[in-house]
Amino acid sequence: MSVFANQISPVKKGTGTENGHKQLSVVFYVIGALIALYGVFCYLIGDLQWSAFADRVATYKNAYNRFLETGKAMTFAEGFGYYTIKFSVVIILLGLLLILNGNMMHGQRWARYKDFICVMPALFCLALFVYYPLLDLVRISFTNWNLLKEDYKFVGIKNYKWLFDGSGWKNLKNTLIVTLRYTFWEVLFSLAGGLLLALLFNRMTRYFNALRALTFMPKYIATATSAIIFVWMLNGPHGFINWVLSLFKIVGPDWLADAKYALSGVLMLTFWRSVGYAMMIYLSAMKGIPQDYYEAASIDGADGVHCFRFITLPMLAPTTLFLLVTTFISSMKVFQSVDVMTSGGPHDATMVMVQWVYNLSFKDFRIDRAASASLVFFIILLGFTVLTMRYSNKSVNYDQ
Amino acid sequence: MKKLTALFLALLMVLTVSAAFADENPYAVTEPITIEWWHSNEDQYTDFIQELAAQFHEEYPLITVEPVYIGSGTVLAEKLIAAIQGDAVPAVSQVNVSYLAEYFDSGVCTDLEPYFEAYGIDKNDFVVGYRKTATREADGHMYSLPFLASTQVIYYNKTVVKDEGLTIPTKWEDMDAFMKAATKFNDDGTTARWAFVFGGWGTNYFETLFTNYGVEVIKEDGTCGLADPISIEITNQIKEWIDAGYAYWAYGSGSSGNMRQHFWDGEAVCVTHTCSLITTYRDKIAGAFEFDIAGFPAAPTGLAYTLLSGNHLVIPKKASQAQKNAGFVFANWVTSGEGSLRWAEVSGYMPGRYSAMQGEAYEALIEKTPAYEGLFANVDNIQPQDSRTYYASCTNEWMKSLALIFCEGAPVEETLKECAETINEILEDL
Repeated sequence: MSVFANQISPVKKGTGTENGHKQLSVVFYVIGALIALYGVFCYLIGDLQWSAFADRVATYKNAYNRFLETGKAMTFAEGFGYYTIKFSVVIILLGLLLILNGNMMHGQRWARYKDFICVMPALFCLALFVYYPLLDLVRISFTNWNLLKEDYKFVGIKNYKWLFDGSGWKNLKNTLIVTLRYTFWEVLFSLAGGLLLALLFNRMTRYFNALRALTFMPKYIATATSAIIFVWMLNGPHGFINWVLSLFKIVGPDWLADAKYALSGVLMLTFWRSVGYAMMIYLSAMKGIPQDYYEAASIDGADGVHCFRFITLPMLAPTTLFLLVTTFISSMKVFQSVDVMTSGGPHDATMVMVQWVYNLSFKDFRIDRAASASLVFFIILLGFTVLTMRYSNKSVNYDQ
Repeated sequence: MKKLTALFLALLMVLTVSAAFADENPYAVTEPITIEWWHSNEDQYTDFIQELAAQFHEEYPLITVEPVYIGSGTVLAEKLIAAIQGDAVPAVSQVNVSYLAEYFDSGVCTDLEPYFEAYGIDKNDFVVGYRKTATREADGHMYSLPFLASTQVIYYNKTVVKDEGLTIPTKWEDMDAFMKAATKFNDDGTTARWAFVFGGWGTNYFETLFTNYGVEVIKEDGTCGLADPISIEITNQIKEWIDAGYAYWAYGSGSSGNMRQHFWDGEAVCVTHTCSLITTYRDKIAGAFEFDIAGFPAAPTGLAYTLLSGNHLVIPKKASQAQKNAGFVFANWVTSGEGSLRWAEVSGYMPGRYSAMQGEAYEALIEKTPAYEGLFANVDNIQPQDSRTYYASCTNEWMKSLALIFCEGAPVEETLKECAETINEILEDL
């Protein structure tokens, strides 16, 4: 280790150590490039079905299937071919990381290089489990894959045509409207409710501590568990909510079975779960507002409303932005509560985007269409987030 | 010396016979093996399943079965897909019938024909509708074994029917009279007791009510037939009953549970539900009143089909040959006559083979749950679900439209036309 450390410790121009770094980094560059290129080649012949090598790929796959069925071992060439094609993306990523490693070694000091080495495993996992699946969606969206069969075909923009110019359009439009409607109400209720509760509970007494804990507690309960309890509570003829309403001579609707009320039913659970979280974030932000401002304002004759309007609210703007963006993204991706409570029904009244994508993938076996819908959804989500951030950068004051 | 020679000859004979048998059956299990069985049978069956695995191990000491509860049918399907992609499949897996066609066509299940031949299993012993479901259309081979078969039935309150002199309709034409006779109203005109509750939360529950009549979801010319006059006529008829307060259409979250509760509370005379819940009905009613089950009323065409639901067992193609061999022995055992009758006893699922519907065990089952008798007598009226993969998407649109009509008061003709247009769009996009 010490030898290695000496080799790439503080770069001194024109010294032997620097030359050693460069030589070593070139080795990393070359090996990395070779591995990455081989990975790309494997990806081309495997995932992208480069027809010139179709027979070779089929031979490897047959050898592997024979191994699975009969236990007859593959030859080294067959095994190497099969596994490198199967793990082509891992190979590409390894190659890229080696190139990056060479680059860091070439131009950075040891301390920086050490930092890079530490983040390399995380970077690798991030690339493999987050960015690669995202990129692979693009490939799948141009195929007719059904999640099961090994042989799929590239079908061009057929899935996108279905989405924008076929029977998918009606569903896409409906799911976007439902998702945005859900998101709007969740963001509004969570932020407004959280802020109100934070104002109410912003006192450090024992009772308020207990109340704060009670309000925050739903966040700890698993969504599926809470959803099942809400399904019982919101049941039409036998539910708790309607029983309470009946005490006031009000006939409650069948919350989750009536298209007019189903989204409200789901939102009740959402609000119950998320308002405590927003409250806690607001509370911690409120603690950070200097008391001097309030004292100065009170000397100038400002009352509570003025203090809230001109001190608390503006000072909470960064927190509001944080909550807005995180709540927005999480509510656009809502799935579990909807899946348990309504599965998107009735009449698609709660068919949010992720539920639709899930149905396409695992109920209709149309992962190809699901991939195209997911990509469109991703672009919309990204667009909204960028717009929000841009707008907020202009209007949110981070100074204290 | 003679004794030794005799012993040697006897040993030789045993070895020769064993070898001969082994040669006859290339799929015989010859070495100890442990296999996984993925299933979706919930907690109430855990002890029974463990017992079953232990009993199987006693009969087949070379094979140890480890039952693994994966989750609901949908979760199991997801996990199985992942397992197939990751080459980490179980030897045997339960699969809901609605997924079978896609699995067969994708080539992920083992062809069972050679196993049937090796073990001398007569395919004609499988109930005809179940066999069709287990058969891949392209080659006519069976790729699964019917395991927990169920279908839709009418549960009716036998006590009310007897006391009030009602007759459960066996023909669609008798439905109107029954609706009027069995319904009871409160003083304010609201319904106190429904004559009939139609299951509308799943397409299985209503599809054959229409198709027996001649309605075609997808016609031979490839277009949707749901806006045809016959479909409009039946829909109008059901809507009339619902509007008059004789019946309701159970749809949406919790509707199945509410419908059951209405029946158990005596607020509905007839409900359409799956036969797999027969033991649940029996236990919940707990002698409060007598109940029985009946088949769907026959359409004027004479047809009284219902659809096959439930689960089959498949052996994933990616399992090793040894796993497949052991998996088949277990799957065959658990779906065979005695095995399936034991399931029927604890659940409500029907046996998948004709040979199970006879003998002492069968008689004992009928004695314990007499409602089974009528069900088994009509077993040939159970038809396989349409195996075309896009068919479920089409019937799902139909289900939503019918719920709009029956629950939200949407106009019949316009809604069905709109539904047919949507389905035609789906069909055009294939």
